[in-house]
Amino acid sequence: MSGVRKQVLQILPGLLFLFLISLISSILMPRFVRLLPSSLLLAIPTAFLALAETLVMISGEVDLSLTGSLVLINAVAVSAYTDYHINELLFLAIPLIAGLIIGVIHGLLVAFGRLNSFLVTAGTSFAWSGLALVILRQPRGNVPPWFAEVFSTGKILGIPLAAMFALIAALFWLLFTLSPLALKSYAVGSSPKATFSFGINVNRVKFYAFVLNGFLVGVAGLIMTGIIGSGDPRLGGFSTVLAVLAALIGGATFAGGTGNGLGAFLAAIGLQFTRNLIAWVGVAHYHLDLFYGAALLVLIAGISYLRRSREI
Amino acid sequence: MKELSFELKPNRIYGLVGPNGSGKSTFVKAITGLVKLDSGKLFKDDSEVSITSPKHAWALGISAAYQDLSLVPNLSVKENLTLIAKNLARLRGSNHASLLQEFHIILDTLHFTVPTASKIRHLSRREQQIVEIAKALGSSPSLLLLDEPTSFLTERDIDRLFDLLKQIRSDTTVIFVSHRLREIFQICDEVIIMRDGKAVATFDLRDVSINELVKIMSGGASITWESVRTEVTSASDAQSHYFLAEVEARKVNKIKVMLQKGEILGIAGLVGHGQSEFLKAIYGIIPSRKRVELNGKPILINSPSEALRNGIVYISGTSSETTLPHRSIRENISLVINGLKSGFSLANIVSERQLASAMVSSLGIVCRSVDEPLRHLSGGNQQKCVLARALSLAPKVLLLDDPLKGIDTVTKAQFYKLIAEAAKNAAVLFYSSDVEELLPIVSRVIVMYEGTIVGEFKGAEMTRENILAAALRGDKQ
Repeated sequence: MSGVRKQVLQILPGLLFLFLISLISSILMPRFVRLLPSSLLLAIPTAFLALAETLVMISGEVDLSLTGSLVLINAVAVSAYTDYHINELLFLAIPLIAGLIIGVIHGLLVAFGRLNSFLVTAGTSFAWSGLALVILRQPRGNVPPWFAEVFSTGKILGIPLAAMFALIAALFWLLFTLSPLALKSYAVGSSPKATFSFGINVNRVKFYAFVLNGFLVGVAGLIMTGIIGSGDPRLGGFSTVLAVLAALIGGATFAGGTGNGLGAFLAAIGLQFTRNLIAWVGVAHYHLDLFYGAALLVLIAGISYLRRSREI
Repeated sequence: MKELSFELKPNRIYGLVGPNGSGKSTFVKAITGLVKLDSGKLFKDDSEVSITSPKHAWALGISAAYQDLSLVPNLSVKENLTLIAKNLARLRGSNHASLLQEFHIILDTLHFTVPTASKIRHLSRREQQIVEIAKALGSSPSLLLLDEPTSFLTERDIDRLFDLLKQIRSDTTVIFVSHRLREIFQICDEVIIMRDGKAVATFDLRDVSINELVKIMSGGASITWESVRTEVTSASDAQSHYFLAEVEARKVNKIKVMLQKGEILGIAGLVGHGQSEFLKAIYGIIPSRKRVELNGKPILINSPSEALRNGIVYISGTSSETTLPHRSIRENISLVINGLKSGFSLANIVSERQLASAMVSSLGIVCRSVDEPLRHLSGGNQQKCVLARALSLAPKVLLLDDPLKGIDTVTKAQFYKLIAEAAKNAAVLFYSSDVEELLPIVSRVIVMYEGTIVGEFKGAEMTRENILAAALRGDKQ
C-alpha cells in the first residue's frame, strides 16, 4: 500500500504542472480543448524521451544523445522502407531494434568501458545525427500509407492514439517499478559503493538502464516518424534538453537515485503545452524561443525553490 | 596493509585492535571483497577460497558492518534490507522473505524504533549504525566482521549488541574491531593486535592486561595516562568570565555556559541530546537564538565565517562534514586560513606547505607527502588533519564536537596534549559520546538531556558513574 502512495506522491509534481498549464491554456486559448488530441499526440515523442532519460538518471547517469538517436532511428526506418522496400510489419520493428542497439552501445561504453555517460552520449549525439545525414542526405522518403493514415486521423480502432501511447508508457513504468531492476537502479544511482557491497553488479544495472532507455527512444522514434510521415535529418530540435528538464520536474536529479518516469512523461507534455501557449499568446515566431526559454528558467527556479523549502 | 596471517577458530569472538592507519578497516574490506588483495590467500574450513567481490563473500557466509557504512542513503531501511535479502536469497537459493524477517528481528532486538519506511539519510548516525549491524548480523553469517560498531551507539545499545553476539557465537566466528579496549575485554575471547599493516600478536584475553595491550599497540613506547588536566577556577565561581554562550536552537533548550581562559569544559550525555547542536549553534552552522560574549564583549555570529573571524573554531568528529577527501592534506589544512583571506588574494603555496609539514610532524600524521589526497589516509589521520587546521588558527575558543570518535588510544593521548596546549590561550568546549574520553582532560563536566543541562560535576564528583547516572536519569538530583 505504501508503495502505491509513494508512486502517487512522486507523480504529483509532473501531474500538477501539466494540470496547471492545461488549466491556464483552456482559459486563455478557446481552441485548447478542441485541439487537445492533436497537441497531445505531438507531445508524445518528447514524453517518451523524458521517460527514457529518467531511467538512466535514476541509475546516476545521463543521456545527452536523445536528439541524435531520434534522428538516426527516423533515418534508418524511412530509408529501409523507401530505399530497400522492406516488409511493412518489419518497418514497425526497425525503430525499436535500432533503439535497442543504440542503448546497448551506450550501455557497453558506460557500464563496461567505465566511461562517463555525459561524455559518451555527448559524443554519440553528434555521431548519430551525422550518420542520419549520411543515410538520408536531405529530408525525403515516406512511410507505409496506412501508417501515415493512422497518425493523420490520430485514432486507431476508434481509440485516440495519444491515449493509447500514454497507456503504454504507464504500463511500461508499472512493469519497471515492479521488476527487481527498479530498486537496484535507485540503489546504484544513490550509492554505487554501498550497492556494490551488497553483492550487486553495479555495471550490469547501469547497462540495463541504457538498454531500456534505448528501447524507449526507439518507441519515440517510431511515433515521431509516424507524425511527420517521412525522414528528416534535421529533426528533434531541443528534445534532449526538454527530456532532461521533464525528468528533473519528475523528481530526478543529476546526482542519481531519484526520479519518476511517469511524472517526467506528464511533465514533458506540460512543457510542450507551455510552448503552444506562448505561441498562441501572440509572440512573434522569431521571439518564441526567447520567451519559451525565459518561461523555462522561471519554472526551474520555482521547482528548485519548492524542493529546497520541502527539504527543510 | 602489508602482511597478515592468522587462523580463526570457530565460535570465538576476536578483538582486532591497533593504532589508526594500522590497516584494520582495510583488512575488513579485503576479506569481504570490497578491496582487492594484491596477493594472499584465504582459507575456509581448510579449503582455499577466492573473494574478489562482495558477492563471493556473501555467498560464503561472510558479512560485515563497515565503519563508514554501506547503506544506500536515498532508499528506506526496508528497501535496503530487501535489496540485500533478495540478492542473498538468490546466492544461497533460499527464501528472501524469511531472510527479511531475520533482519527485522535483529532490528527489534537492538530497539530500532524508527519506521522502516524512513530513508537512511533521514536517520541519525546511531540509527544508521544499527541498520548496518542488522544487515551483517541478520544474514546468519559464519564469519561476522564488525568494524567499530560501537562508536555511535549508546551504552544500552552496546549491552544489547553484546547479548546478541553471545547468542550467535555458537554458529559464528566474530571479529570485533574497536578502539575501546574496555569493550574488547568485555566481549572478546582473544585479541589480535595490528601495527603498520601487520598482525604483531595474538593473545588470549585472560593472559593480558589493558596496559600491556596499549604498550604493544604503540610499539613498546610507554604511554602516559596521567591526567593532563589544568586546574583553573571555574567561571561559575569567579566574578568575570572569558567566554559566555547562551543558546536556544532546535534540540537545544536555552543552555548557558561560562568559561575562564584556559578552562576545558566537558559536555556529556547520551548520544543525540542536543550536544552537537549546541556547539554547531555557537559556531553558526545551524540557526539559533543566542548571546555570545568573548572577553566581556558581546559578539554576533550568524555564520561560521563570522565565528572564525572572532577566533571561534569548531571541529567535528564526522569527517565527511569537514574535509575535502579528494584534495591534498596541505589544502585541507590551509583551507580555513585561505577562506579568511579576501577572495582576490593569492594562496601562498610555500607557506601552506611549511604549515602542513609542521603539522604533519608535530601531530604525527602518517602520510607519504603533504600533497597526498586526504582520502588516502586512515580515519584517525584524517581527523588529525582536521585538528591541525583548527590549531593553525590559534583559536580563542575551541568547540570540539565528538572529535575522537574512532581514534585509537595512542593517538588520543597525543590529542590530549595538543588540546591542553591549545587551551592555555583559549576556552575549550569538548563534547564526547564516550565519558572516558572526557575525564582525563576536562576540569568540569556538564551533562545534557533533551537539550537541557541536568548535571554539573567537578573535582572528586566528576566520575564516570555520576555522569552516566545523570545522563540516564535525565533529572537533577
